[in-house]
Amino acid sequence: VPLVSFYLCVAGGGISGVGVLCSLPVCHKNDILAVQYMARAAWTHTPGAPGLKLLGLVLLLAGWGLVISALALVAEGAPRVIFVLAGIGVEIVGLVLVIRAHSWRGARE
Amino acid sequence: VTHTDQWTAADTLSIALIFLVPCAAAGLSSISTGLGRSRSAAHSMMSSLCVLAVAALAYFVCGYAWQTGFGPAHIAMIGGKEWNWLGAGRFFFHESTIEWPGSRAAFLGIFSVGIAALIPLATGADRWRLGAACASTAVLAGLIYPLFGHWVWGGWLMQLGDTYGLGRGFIDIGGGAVIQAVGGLSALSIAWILGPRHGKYTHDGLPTAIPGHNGVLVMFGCLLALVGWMALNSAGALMYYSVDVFRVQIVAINTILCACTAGLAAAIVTKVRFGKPDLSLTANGWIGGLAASSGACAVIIPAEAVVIGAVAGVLVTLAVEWFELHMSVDDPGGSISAHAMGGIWGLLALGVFVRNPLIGRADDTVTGQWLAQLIGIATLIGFVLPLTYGVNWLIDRLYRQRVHAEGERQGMDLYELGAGAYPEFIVHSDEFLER
Repeated sequence: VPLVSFYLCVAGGGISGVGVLCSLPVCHKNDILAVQYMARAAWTHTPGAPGLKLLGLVLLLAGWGLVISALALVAEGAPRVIFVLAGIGVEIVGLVLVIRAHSWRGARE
Repeated sequence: VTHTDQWTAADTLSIALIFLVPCAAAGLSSISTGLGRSRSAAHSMMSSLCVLAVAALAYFVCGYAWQTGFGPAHIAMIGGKEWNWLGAGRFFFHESTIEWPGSRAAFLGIFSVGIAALIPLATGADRWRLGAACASTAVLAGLIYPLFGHWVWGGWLMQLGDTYGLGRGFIDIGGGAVIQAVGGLSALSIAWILGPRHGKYTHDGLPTAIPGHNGVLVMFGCLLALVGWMALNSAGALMYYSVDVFRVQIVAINTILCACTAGLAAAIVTKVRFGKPDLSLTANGWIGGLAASSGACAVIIPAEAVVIGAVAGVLVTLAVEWFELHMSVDDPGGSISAHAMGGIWGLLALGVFVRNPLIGRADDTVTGQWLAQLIGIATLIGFVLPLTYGVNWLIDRLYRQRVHAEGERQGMDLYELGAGAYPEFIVHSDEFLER
């Protein structure tokens, strides 16, 4: 169950990412430009990444799924610790994305 | 009467302590009102009262039934181990559900859930509609708090020690996670959804100061909160971790020391940085110290409480500025920094400092305790935060949470209640000029 939920979370994250790409006006013209645009939107406060918040929230859930999977499926000791820390790392990335998405919105308002 | 033979001094003491817990709610309400504007003061107090009422009712209807760790529970088998994930009590405080010791847990829970629900109010000050605050509280008290509360006080997080050998499982003595962090993360969700107050940020995105209207109320709230917190931490230690009754003084001493050092640290940091100690940031530091004490108060020694409090005071003071300046989060009451950051720091510190067998077991081994604490914190950030955000976002779609711009201009008192808290005062319209 945790493994399936984890993969669902990761798949959800992937779908959100694709959704972000597809929502950009330049996507169908030049994919490289689209990726550059999304990266810039994520790490600066440039408006235009409507799926950024969703991607961040999904990554938060995926990180937690990884932590739970580490408990249930990974052997005791160092591997479990590494998986738990990896899950927390994914959560931090998700948190940064959500914060970025809102900090631009806040400044605009 | 049937339980008279098993009645202990700890039972009597814990019940007496629970009667003092509402002081924490009164303190938080005072702080929230004092740090808001004068034209929303009555609304703030009214919201506090309504939120407490809604939280108690939601907890009565279904919250306690899902939270209870003293009765039957829903168990899932994952990886060959039992995961206790939801209480299976009956709704409406059914007699079978609140039979002793459940009745004592329900008594404490009905106040604790109110405290958790009060925390976001300070964040949404001056712009959060009364009806929306009640709706958000109903979901928090009826679903989110009970679910996470069950995990921590009886469920799979508490059992991590038995099932996976991680110390004594996730430890949260007085609600550093269940009350403070859940309330603080809920406040963060509300801040994101409501957006900043009108005039808080310039067109360039720079924050401007909107000072609270009553520093006396804020300071009085801090002192009142101390009484409630000592009771809350002590009652939690007695109830959920069966701490020896003679150790309750240590719990209270640790709580006081945490608050004192955190308040002083905040005062010193603001004095060094701004030339004079800042009242609101010192109050935030004090509350942050109290929140940090909640997680670990029964399993640390007083010297460690001093360290935890000092770090909490500095952390909260810097976090308030960081949230405002770099995250564009307008949090008039500093709830996110004080409750979420302070609470999470206390839980993390427990993993570092815990070493004494203070909570019932004879052995000294606490191997893996830090990992159990990390898993609990990961659950807060990875599960509770998205859940509170998603639920509040949904409420916002159905019933707009932020007051109309006209309401913000008039003040929440006049717009939503029809009367102000201080009718003799003159409303200063120059605050609404474009900066």
